[in-house]
Amino acid sequence: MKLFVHNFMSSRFLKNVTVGYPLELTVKQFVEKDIEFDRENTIVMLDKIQYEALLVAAAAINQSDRIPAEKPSKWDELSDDQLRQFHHLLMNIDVIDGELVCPETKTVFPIKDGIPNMLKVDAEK
Amino acid sequence: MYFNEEKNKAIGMRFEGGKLAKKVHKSVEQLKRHDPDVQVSSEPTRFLLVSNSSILCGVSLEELEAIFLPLDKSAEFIVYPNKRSYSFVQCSSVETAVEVRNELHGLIPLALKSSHQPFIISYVKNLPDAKKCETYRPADLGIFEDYISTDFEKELADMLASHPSVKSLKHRAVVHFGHVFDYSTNSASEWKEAEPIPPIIETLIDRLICDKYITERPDQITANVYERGHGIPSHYDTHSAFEDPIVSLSLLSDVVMEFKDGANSARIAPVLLKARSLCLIRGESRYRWKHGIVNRKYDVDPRTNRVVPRQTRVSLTLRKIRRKPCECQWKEFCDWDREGEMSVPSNENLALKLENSYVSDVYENIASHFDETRHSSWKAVKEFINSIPRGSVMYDVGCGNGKYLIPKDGLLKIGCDMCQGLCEIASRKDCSVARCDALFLPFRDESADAAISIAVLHHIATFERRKRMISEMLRVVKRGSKICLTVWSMDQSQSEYSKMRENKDDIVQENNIVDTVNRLKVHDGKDFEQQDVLVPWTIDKKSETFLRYYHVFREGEAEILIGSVENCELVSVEKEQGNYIIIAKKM
Repeated sequence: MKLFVHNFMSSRFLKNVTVGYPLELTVKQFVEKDIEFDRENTIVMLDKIQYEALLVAAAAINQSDRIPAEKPSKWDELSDDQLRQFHHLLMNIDVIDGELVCPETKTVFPIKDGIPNMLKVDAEK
Repeated sequence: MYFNEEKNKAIGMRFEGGKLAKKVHKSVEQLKRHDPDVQVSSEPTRFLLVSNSSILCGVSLEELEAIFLPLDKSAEFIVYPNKRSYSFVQCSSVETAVEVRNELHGLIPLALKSSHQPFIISYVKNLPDAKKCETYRPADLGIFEDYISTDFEKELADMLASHPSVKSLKHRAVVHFGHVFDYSTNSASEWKEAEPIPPIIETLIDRLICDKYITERPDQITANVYERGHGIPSHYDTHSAFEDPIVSLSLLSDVVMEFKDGANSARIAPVLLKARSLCLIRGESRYRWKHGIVNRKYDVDPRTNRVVPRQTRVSLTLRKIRRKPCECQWKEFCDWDREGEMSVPSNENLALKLENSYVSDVYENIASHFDETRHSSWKAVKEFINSIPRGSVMYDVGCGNGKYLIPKDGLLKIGCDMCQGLCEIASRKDCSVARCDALFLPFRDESADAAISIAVLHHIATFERRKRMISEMLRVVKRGSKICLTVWSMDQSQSEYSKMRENKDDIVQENNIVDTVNRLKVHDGKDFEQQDVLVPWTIDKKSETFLRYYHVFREGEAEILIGSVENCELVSVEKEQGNYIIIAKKM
């Protein structure tokens, strides 16, 4: 599971959960890939993401220092090097083994072989 | 069949010299390819290889008989229903074979009706080996040749033939013993007794029990007299009417019985029932396969391809009346709803149970085969995806093997599927996927710019649940965003799928004692007969069949469904090859 996916996931579908976001993330194993950087694509993607969730994801792999603690005001004013850091976190980090946890109910969703299991029935077992 | 007006040759014309030699060469080459065990002979033999004489060439057996029998009245034919352009003719002697060949070699015989190709004839030393085993035979079917002696056969046949109550039935004469078989319900009532079972049949029953072929004494015996040319339509012996097995004894003539897979009517297993053989139709062959006998005067032995003329045949069928409803393991093919398990689900729990057994479990089993076969994309879906601005976020609900996630189209795509096997396959192709239920999407509210769901909605078993799936897709997209869903249409007349199924039965004959409207039915023909069906997925290599649940959509149904969802506006419903492509917008 790439970290950008985490940015879109929520446990809102569970009963009695109102927001379910961002999901807590525990990473037991991840790999770093080398996806080609494209300045424009990165900016388009950053427009779509929630900064608070990205900070949660960066912290989960101990790489918070790659990005500023506050959301930059304008993405296109960032240098290529700064954007590369975002690109690296969102696209290159692939979580192989870990857990996603609902912030409200603490329901655990395992990530195995890079695939988060968000099945409601499994979660409610 | 190749046909060229300009090359049209006159019937009765004969090829000679170099042209003929060329054709002989070609004919022998074909023989080598299909039947390498057959040796061509330079000396005359009794066996003739006759090219351009097969059904594939438009030559019927009747035409072969009309051409060869006047020259050799005891000629026998070895024919192939497909794959070969030639037949073999076995003559009564080498001398007649020489005469036959002199007469017909290179000739376009006058008796040919549609073919205009000359018969090319070579001597061969031998005929093809009989197939060691038939390609397929339904599981559990028992055939025991020479089960009774010729004396016993004669005794039985004489008793039946002289029976005063042999009544004429459309194609056959029939007598019942023990209990009457009711042809309107295809069952027998305990209360409608026929005349007692004759002692000679009781003797046969004793032997069947002694041989452990049956455990209980049959109480409904049917004797059928089939005149040459007559058969019986393909049918199941009604599950709830009779116990397992159905015992059938053949007398006086060989016949080929065709078994048809109830999950795939193109899968036909011809089985030779020789005179005096016992046939036990039990287990899978009884509950899942239909059986019948084609109306014709000859059969082709499935092992040797030899044409065998039929004689008058008597069959004795021994059945035991079932006193309570059938509980076979082939419940999808059964004649009642199995206490709701096989009914069209009327509530949430039954729907979930059905989707689990006939959708989720099946996809886990067929995931890799599914991946090998799913590659083409729907035109309307491609157009929908192309219309989404670059950089948008798109969810693919029920992404399968990831075929819509793979293309690099400038979209940020996340797929999800309930099937673990398919999630793994898509993930290995570098797609971003999560495993989830389409009714409970693991995405935050209004987080995507578009969503697609290809061939998923028709696996959801109630209207309420289909509505919820659409609501859930709308929850995760932004206001004003569009979603695209595809479902199977009940009308498959324009689809590739129907072309694939052209060799299947048009009309499925069913003789059920229970009303089938609320029952799920296995789909085995071209047209959907009802909306809630179990559709077979066959893995040919393993000859495994899985049944998937579908709710196929009627004309106008997509409009009603979308109309019932809050904050949802229908954009379009298009029909593409037996599918509805539905586009809707979040208000």
